[in-house]
Amino acid sequence: MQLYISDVSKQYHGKVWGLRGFSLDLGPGIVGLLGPNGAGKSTMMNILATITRPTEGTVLWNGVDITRQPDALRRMLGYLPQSFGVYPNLTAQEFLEYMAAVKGLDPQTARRCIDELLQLVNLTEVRKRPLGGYSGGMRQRIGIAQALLNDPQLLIVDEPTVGLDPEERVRFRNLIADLAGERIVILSTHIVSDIEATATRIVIANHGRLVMDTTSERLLQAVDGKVWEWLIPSTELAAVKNAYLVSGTLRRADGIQMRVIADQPPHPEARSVTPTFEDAYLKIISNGKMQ
Amino acid sequence: MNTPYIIYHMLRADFLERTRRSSFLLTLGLAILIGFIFLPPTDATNLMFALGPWRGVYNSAWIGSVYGILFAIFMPLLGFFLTKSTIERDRRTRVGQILATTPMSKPVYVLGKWLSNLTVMAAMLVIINLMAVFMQWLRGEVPQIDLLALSVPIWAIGLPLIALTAALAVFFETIPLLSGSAGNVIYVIAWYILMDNVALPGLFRYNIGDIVPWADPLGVTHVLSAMQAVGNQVTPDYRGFINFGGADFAVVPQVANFAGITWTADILMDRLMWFGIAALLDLAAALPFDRFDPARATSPEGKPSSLGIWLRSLLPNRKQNQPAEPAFALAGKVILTPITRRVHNSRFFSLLRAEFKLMVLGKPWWWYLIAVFVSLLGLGGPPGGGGITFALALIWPVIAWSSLGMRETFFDTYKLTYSASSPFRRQFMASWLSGVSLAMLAVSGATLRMLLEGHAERLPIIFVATLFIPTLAMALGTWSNSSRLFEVIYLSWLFMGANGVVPFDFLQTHQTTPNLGQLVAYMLLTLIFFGLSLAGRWRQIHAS
Repeated sequence: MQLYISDVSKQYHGKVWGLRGFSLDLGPGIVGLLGPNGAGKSTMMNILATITRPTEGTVLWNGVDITRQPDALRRMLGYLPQSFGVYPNLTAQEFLEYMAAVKGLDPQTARRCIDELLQLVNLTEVRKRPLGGYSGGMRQRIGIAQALLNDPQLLIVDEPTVGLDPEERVRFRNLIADLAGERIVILSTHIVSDIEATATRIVIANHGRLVMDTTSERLLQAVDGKVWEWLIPSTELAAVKNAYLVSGTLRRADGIQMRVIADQPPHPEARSVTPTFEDAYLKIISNGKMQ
Repeated sequence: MNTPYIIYHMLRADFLERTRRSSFLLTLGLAILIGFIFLPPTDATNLMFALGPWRGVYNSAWIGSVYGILFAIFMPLLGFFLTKSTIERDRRTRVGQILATTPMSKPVYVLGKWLSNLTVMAAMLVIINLMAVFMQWLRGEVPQIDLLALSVPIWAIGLPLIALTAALAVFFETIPLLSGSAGNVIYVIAWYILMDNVALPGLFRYNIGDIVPWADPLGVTHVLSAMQAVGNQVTPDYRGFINFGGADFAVVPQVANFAGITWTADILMDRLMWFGIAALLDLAAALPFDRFDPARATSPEGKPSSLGIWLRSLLPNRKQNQPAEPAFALAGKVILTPITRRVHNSRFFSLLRAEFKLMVLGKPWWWYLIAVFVSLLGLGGPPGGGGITFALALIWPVIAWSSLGMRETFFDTYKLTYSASSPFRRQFMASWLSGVSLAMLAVSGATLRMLLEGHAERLPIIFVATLFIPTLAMALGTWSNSSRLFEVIYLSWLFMGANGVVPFDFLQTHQTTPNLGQLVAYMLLTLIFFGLSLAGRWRQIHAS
């Protein structure tokens, strides 16, 4: 099982490039695609989901070009878009039956999968309720269920935790972790903690380009010994923000505890602390702005 | 913040938003095309608008009056469908929820929306006025352009009419039952009934009698009456008939001088009365307007209607005391049922059934009631009533067909469906065939009756009609991403055919023996629309 993305670019109307020269070689496991808004993540997801065609480059699924033969991938694909709608007059059961038919599942298998997935996302009790009456979180769970209907070998989830409450977000991460194994899971988000909790491989994009393709360990190593904390009076806050890449501030009774990323200690009292994903991500994204 | 300031900015934003849409340009283009066709060259033998065997000389009064009449006939339909989406858009984009949190009152909101609709249509009126000037210059029969004689009929007829249309569009949007496709269908039917029987009696059938202002929202009877008076002078045996929609005279028809009418203060007051009625109608719309309260929202934009929920509660196997929102909890290790067989193009019938269910589910209760009634009428109606029962059978499914081709974009499910296997060969075909199946089901009763009455020779006509209608829906849905274009075009087509305009009579109800040429023409048209549907879906998939 292999997804090979070779030098993919996408140009939109008005000659705006959403993606430039993106290359990746993916095998089973969870890949976290991180990047700020406008980094090209959703463009990449749409190309991989065969919704959008690249302007340049190729995407091969097990050696088959999905631009020419998209069905080769579509039969194996589970896709949860960043934003999607549902038919409000259909119940959860009816909507999943429809999606199972669209995906080509036979009725018996579809019934079994729907029962299983409704149970998985805990919507069995409200399966007969029209989707128009569902909350945002419940709709998102229906989206997750439809993505898993055909036991996908490639699962693409684009900003999946948007609309979920903190508790649901943790459960969704566990679900993604459980689903990995012999499938490729691509998790696109700008929420660093989602990636931190699940992904084994991390791809960072910015301004439509691939900035880094690494593992979680190596990502953290990149900022090891470069994250500092110290206490400053609140009057110095603006000056410190101006001079350093700040990854966090904490107000205390005796001042403000600063957390900055810098190659050298920013202050004689600054102490080196254990870096987090967020520190590493910030450093990579703002590369060039730092001292 | 004062009210005029709020209204001005609402009007401005709405106007800019809508005039930058392709639907505005499309409607404008259509209006210009109609204006062009109805004023053919001076040596043309085929006239779209003529008073019996003659036409008016192309002077300013004639051109202004003809454009005024054309505007009155077409604009209430085109304008309604162009503007009836302004509140829906605020609801869909959730701008409405933001507006609802401001101090703006309901009457101010509906007033702003009415004026905005009015401004959009008034912009078209300006273009049509300019078009009238251009056409008089282009045809060159009378070089002197009298701007007053040219413009007054257009504006005196047009302005109150667009005020009324704009108010009706707002009013329909605020009534849950009328805000969706059902409202569109009701509007078109009501419009044709009004036009055929009340507002334009002289146009198709006979002399206009006494002019009753309150029964003349279109404001054309004064002009038509004056035109007929000229006709009576020119041709002694002229009976007031006005050729509208195409008449070939074989020779260049006679021309007569039409000097127009004097727009007296009384006539203008009558027109002003309709402006007032429109304003009152618009303010009345503030009463049912829900002010974007999601608790009062109706499908398809928000929650399903309470009636729909109640009807569903009558279905068996409904569990009582359902939790409001069960928590997302994972029970143990996640293992999905493995899909061992992934066959290309498999299970087409399941998909067809699913598409059919999707098309007919969630309709108002009365829709199903009408379906049963029309089917029974088709089987057991009066003898020889085939034409009307077929026409009735082909009206009620309009709100189901109109979702073909646009449903995926409208409900934003396209990313889910187009990323599934073979969106063309499977999902598109299943969707189209579900429309064909509904058409066949709709006419099944009347067809059976027709066969029992021994008219098997008409079977190919019915068969082609059942292919033609959903294909038209698919083509218009995929290109417009809206249900309204199909609703207005199809219903206009059906009514023109039912009124004996032969090219539109795809059921051939006005012909005693089947016309093979027309049958072949509709088969070809179906093929063309099918090609357009495929192209439209291709565009939808690749534009997404």
